Amino acid sequence: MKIAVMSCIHGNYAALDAVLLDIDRQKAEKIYCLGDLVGYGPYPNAVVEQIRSLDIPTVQGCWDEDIVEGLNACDCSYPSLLAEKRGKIAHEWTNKEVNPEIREYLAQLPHTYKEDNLCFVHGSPSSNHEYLLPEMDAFTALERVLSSDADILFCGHTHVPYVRTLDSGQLQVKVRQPDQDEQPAVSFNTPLKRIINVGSVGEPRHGRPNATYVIYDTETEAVNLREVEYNYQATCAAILDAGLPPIFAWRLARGLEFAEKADDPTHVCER
Amino acid sequence: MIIAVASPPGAGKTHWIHQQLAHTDKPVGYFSPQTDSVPIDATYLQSECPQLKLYQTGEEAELDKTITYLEIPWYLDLAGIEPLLQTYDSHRVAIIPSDTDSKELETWADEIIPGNNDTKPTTALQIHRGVLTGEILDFDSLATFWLELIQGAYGDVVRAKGIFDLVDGQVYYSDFRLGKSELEFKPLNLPRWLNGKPDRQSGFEIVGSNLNKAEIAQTVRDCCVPESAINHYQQQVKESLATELEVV
Repeated sequence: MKIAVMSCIHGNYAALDAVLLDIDRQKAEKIYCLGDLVGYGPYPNAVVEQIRSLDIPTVQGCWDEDIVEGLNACDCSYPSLLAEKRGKIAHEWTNKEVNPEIREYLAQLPHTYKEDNLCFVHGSPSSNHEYLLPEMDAFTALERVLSSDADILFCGHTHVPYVRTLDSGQLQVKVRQPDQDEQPAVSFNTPLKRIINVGSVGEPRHGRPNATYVIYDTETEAVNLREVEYNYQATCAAILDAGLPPIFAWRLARGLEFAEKADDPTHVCER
Repeated sequence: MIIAVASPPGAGKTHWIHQQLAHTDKPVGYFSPQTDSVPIDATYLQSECPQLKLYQTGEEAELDKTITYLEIPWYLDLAGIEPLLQTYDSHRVAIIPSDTDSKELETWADEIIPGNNDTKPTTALQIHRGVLTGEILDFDSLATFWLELIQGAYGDVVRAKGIFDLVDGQVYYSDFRLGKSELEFKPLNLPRWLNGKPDRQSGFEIVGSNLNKAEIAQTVRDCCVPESAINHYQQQVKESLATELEVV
């Protein structure tokens, strides 16, 4: 069965519309969404309404959570003072814009969604704010997949798509605590696991404005990273009309996303 | 003796003077009129050549105490500088890119040096300066702003340079001209400042057209570390430096 997995729409309705059309052409039988429906972009309500109306299984993204619970970020949300300033402007704008029923919908979204050997998260199984960057050390990456109890972990959040295969191997773990005798080492084998980052529909970071998502074939296990052109100029114009910072439109048009994101692969989210 | 150096923006005046300074062991001075508020080139040259004597506006009568390089900003009228040059024994150097037709500079100069080729803007150039003395900037924010700036987010930039006090206590220099692709912040050979707001000059100068000065000013403000947080960051840097020393 072909499935489509998308993430990080960020209120960019034109991008979502183009991706849904492409999914239709690819004849995917089911669609999953990894959150961040809102934030930065000018159409948060319309995007959520579309996802809800299509009954797409969706997990909560960090921006969805922040709109429900308020800002409570650790360093990984804002890698610089400038990013923090811009992020807060976008948060305040979105917070005023979203309708109560949209907020309710975002509040009830789960953090993870599992189906057979597939797990869907926004950031990582530990936190929807944590970045599973492709350079993250293999042990930590494997731990995140194992904790999801799945073979394939679909995630987004970094806005750059990638597929990472974690080869099968043997792990040995020994726990040492200061006031206890040393525990014996525990060894176990891990089967092959994969992390599939589906990129971003509405806020790409790959140097082009095109939306990205993934088509996955559950039988052949083939992954197709899709890149879809859309009318990004319309979204840029809407950003300016909405009174959002013009730099958001400038960055979106160049595939630089609205504000730069953390890129430290050693950072573990402390939120 | 005054060696007066003139060129279009970004042709390489400061770079040429730096090269000359490296080859002399005599007392040398430097003066650039109308740049006292943001002395970017002077600060850079002195960090590279600590013995360099810097002259400021009002000290023109002392220029002949050393061999003095007089860097003439591109926006100054050469006729306005002429009385000063007439006062002293002077040698006039024009740095002219090969694709530039500059009759005025050619007539003015005693010596012509080939300069960096630049792409000529189609509209009149503006200059925007910002004084950042006393401010400490967050490096990641500055790098983001600078990249946006040189890629055209705030107007068509042909030249941008600056000296910035950053959180690690060092002063960084950046110098961009159209056609140069690399983005570099170079730490200058100056003492670290880790005790409150830096009491030394810093700032930037941007040359281009259709510059959105208000947006530039706001974005630079957003890159500055709040005064309430400066001590916190400086303590962290001090502790980190102390640890490094222990390891050594």
